[in-house]
Amino acid sequence: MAELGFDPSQSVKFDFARGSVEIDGGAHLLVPTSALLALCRGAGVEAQRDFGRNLGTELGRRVAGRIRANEASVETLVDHLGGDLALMGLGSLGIERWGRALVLTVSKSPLDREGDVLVAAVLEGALQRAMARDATVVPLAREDARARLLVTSAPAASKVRAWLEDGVAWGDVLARLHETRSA
Amino acid sequence: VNDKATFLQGLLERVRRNSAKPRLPRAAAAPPATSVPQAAAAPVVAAPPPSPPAAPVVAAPPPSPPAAPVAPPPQTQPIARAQPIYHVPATPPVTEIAVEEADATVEVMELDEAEIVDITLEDEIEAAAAQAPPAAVEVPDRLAAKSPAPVATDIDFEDEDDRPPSSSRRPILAASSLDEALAGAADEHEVPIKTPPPESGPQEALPPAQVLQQKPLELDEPGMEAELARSGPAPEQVGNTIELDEPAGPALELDSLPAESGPQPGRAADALEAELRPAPSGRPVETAPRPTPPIEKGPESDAPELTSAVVPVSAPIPPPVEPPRVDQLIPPATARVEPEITARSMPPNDVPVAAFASAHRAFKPATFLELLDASLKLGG
Repeated sequence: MAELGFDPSQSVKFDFARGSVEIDGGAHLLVPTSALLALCRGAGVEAQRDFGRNLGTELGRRVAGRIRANEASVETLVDHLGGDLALMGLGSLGIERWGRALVLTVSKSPLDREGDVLVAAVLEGALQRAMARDATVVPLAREDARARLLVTSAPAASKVRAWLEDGVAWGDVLARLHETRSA
Repeated sequence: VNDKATFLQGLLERVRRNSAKPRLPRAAAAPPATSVPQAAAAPVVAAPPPSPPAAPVVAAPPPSPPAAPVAPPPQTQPIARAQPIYHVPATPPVTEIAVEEADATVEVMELDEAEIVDITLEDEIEAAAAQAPPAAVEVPDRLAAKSPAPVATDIDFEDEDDRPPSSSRRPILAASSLDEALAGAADEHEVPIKTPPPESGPQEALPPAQVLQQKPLELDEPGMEAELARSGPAPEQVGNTIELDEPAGPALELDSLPAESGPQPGRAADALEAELRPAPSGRPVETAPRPTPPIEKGPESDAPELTSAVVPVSAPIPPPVEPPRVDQLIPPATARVEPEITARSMPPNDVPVAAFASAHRAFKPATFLELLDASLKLGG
């Protein structure tokens, strides 16, 4: 199967008579950002993660329906996964590789810093649905309009959160992850 | 072709008209010095008869075809019967003399070589006139000849001889020499010295004749400076001079320069200096500012101040507007200007770069899944 690029044409359909918006045949809602953030603040972290994983699962389903994600290259998967994320309006996706660590970057998200937890949960659900892997996405750092999100295992994610809470720089966190593996 | 034939017909009629007119003897109008004695002119009359080709040319206006010769009309008479006039080309200053063909009654006589006289030499002509027997041929007074050169038949347009050609624009000067013509032109100022260009080209105006005739001024001549001073500037140099009214307002005196604009010896010099930032390395910095050396008073300070000038004005002067102070235009020097630094997001130096770099170089994932699995194994 040839790796085709993401084609956003005919992805979003607005049925003005019925009052519906569809993305690849699934009903969606156009929600104001401020209203969504207010809902997330009131719901709590765990509720945000559940909500985000549900959004990500739908996103991963569409990616898996177009390509063979397990055989896709890094560039192809970034193209399709990032395309669906952009259709949802959550920003622009990118990938950084620091040694053996996989770092996802999301730029210009309308949710800004408050939406990093939600976006991380969306990516967790997408990877779990598309790649069939239990991955945990931990926000590492944010520089202006770009957020860095580390993809790691659940045990390593706990360590990373602890290091970050202790004030360890995100670069040191990445280095420590590599030391632990070599040791 | 018809126009040409009509023109030739008219020309023929004109020739006939002129030939029918009583003609004055041209020899009488000629100066006596150029007249030829009748006895000497006799042999010339026996010159070869006029060539007849002029007749068919004039009297044959063939309308068509143009090249074919057409017989002359019956009323047309040969030119020989009308006693055509032969012109002898004259050379200045001798005027031309017309020679008419002898009448048909004049019988042609054969002359001996002894009777033929060369008229080119005047003395010989005179001698021949004295020795020659009475003329055997009567020659009318109006007949004369100057040279035995071959004569050509020509049409005499008396009314057009004196008129200048249509292309000429210059007046005919009645001067005998070029010098007289130039002198007359200079006096009348009518004939330009330089031929003006055609109307389509630029016209170059020449200076007046008075200017050209003036002697160039020499400053070295005695009394020239006084002459120049007396005459004053020319009206062209003065231009439109406007006479100003007498000052009506009070005489104002400019005040001396404001104290803020000039150097102030009494002002502290440290007020104009900016504070220096301390060095980040903790090196002791000299906190005590160096005292600014006072301005030494030079010998020129003892000189008197510039005197103000009195400027008379005719209109009332509005109240003076205080100029903005220097410290209002320039921000105070004590304001700090710091650079805007944008730091790169690089890992700190305490990160084990060697292990991180070796892992980065050694690991080359082919698929996204391989990279995901490698990342999930970190820290496990």
